[in-house]
Amino acid sequence: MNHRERAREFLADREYAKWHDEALWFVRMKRDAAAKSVKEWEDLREAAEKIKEHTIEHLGFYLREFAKNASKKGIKVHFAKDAKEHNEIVYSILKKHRVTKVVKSKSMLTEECELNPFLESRGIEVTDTDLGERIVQLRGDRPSHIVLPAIHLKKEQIGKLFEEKLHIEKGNSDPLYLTNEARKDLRDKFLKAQGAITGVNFAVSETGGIVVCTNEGNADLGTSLAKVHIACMGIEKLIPKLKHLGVFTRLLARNATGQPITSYTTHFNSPSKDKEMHIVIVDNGRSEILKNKEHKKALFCIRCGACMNTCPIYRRSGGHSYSYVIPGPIGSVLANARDLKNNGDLAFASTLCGSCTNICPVKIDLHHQLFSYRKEYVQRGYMGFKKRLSYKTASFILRNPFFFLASMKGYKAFYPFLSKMNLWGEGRALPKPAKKSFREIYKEME
Amino acid sequence: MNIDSFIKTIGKESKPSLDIKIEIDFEIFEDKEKAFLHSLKNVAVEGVVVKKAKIEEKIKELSKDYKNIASIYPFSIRTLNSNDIKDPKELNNVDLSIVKGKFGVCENGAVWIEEEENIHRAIYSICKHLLILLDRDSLVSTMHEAYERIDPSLSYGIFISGPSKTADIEQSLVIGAHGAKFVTVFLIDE
Ligand code: SF4
Repeated sequence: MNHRERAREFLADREYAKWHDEALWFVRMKRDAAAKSVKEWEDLREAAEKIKEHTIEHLGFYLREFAKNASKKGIKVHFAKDAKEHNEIVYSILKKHRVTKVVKSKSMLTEECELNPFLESRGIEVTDTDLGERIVQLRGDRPSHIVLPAIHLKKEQIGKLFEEKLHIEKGNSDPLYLTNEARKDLRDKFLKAQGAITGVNFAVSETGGIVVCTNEGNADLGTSLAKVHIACMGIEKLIPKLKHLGVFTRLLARNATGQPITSYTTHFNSPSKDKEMHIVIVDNGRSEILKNKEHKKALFCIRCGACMNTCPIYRRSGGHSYSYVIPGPIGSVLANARDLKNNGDLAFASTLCGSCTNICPVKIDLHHQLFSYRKEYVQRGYMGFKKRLSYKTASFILRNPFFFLASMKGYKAFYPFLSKMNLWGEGRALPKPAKKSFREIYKEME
Repeated sequence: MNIDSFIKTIGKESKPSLDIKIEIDFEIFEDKEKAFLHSLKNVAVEGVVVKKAKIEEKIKELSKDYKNIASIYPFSIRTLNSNDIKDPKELNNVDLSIVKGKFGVCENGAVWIEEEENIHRAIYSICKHLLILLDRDSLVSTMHEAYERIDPSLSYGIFISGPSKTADIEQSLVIGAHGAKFVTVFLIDE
């Protein structure tokens, strides 16, 4: 199935689709209010872009600095060229410490590497502790959004799920009640876990430390109770200096959920007493993107999720309509960078309205990137025969005045018939032909 | 994979010759205390100005329903010096943690906490209620100023802005996800 087909499935339940659209639009509105409250907002975006640009251009240098400084602080740094290596490193650390139970806070990278099934098949119990991710995990589902993993679910569905898995009272779907039940269940997991895995929001080359931002405090609770902390990060999380966090901490939460900052912004710069801390730095295809002049900007992403909230396609097709772990505009770009042949449909999952580009805090030219992938998709001959033929025909007609006029006439004559066939799009009416064409009006005026 | 071959595939090893120029004309709050208290309210934190001599009294008031009160500071009311225990899991039933903040940030109500002497980082998130003591005149306007004040050689530090919260179920805000359900900040007046 391609994106279009999955979107059609999503849209089959009109009411649900509308609810989903509105839920995300609400988040987008909160973001707007937060952004407007900071008068230097555009300067911040410019600074963020500059910092990322600079870092990416000296990434090898900053990585080495980071590793050096982290080691000085007693953190063990590991390097993984791909998902497999990443998973093996994480497993070997856990095994060394005889860890059988792990709590994990949000990390899109471990989703990308499919760490959970890897560890589970080796006898380690992994519990996702971010509430949204926990819900998705209990369902055997996958996140549909990078900041709001369970945004595709209604509270009644979550109530039912908890009835079955956590044995809560029947028919209660009050978010407060459900959250409290999850808290109780997860507190127990926190207390039993010997290992904690977290993602990384920012890694600071100057200090050798990492920053993790959460609202729930799950990363804090997990890491402070377990004896070993493993933080997993892609190479693009790096920034040069501590003071640059001033820019990013001001942008991230405001752009993600409209909060002025996350409840917990934790700076892990060394292991705590008698404990171990590891950082696994992962490439997994990122160095390839880095070499691509036109697309390396995709590595600036700080995963705020705003491009999803604002995207008219995402809001009306849901995160699961995208075949890549990260949905929405940035997900489509990253998926195309990885494998254009198989993910090319995602380059077309956009109206190219540019809203994503306008909202992105690090100014990634998202819709331009998608457009350029479309071109590449066609040039490389990946487009299907039927679509190719229709574009070829259109191009021929539009370039040829005689055929163009003839087709206009034909359209007018056959309009009643064509409009019933609805060739162009479901849910959209074919535009009515004008009574007089531009040429005719022009002639009359002369 | 070892660091050298890893970095080789990435390249870009040249040392940057210039620092990044960042020019941001950021906001400065004139009445810092007012701005900070306003931000605290927005993130569901109770902020109160407390005279230094009255701290103990105020803590007593705050904790009248609590049994387990942990702190590394010798308040007469504390029931546990958290540095005395070995396994932080023993902190699970702590009702109130009393900690000290270094400074507060007006734009977002965040408080920077960096306590070198504290052994168990869990005290910030495992308790039901977190009380942060902060000097009244230690407020900065924005995160830019905040980071100017943090020493890059830090071992661990945390900005806390409000109680633990989540909106993962249908976007309804629920306070008290995993960490503290209540946060109070005492602005201490010398
Ligand atoms: S591409 Fe930009 S808007 Fe989208 S998640 Fe990344 S940083 Fe946010």
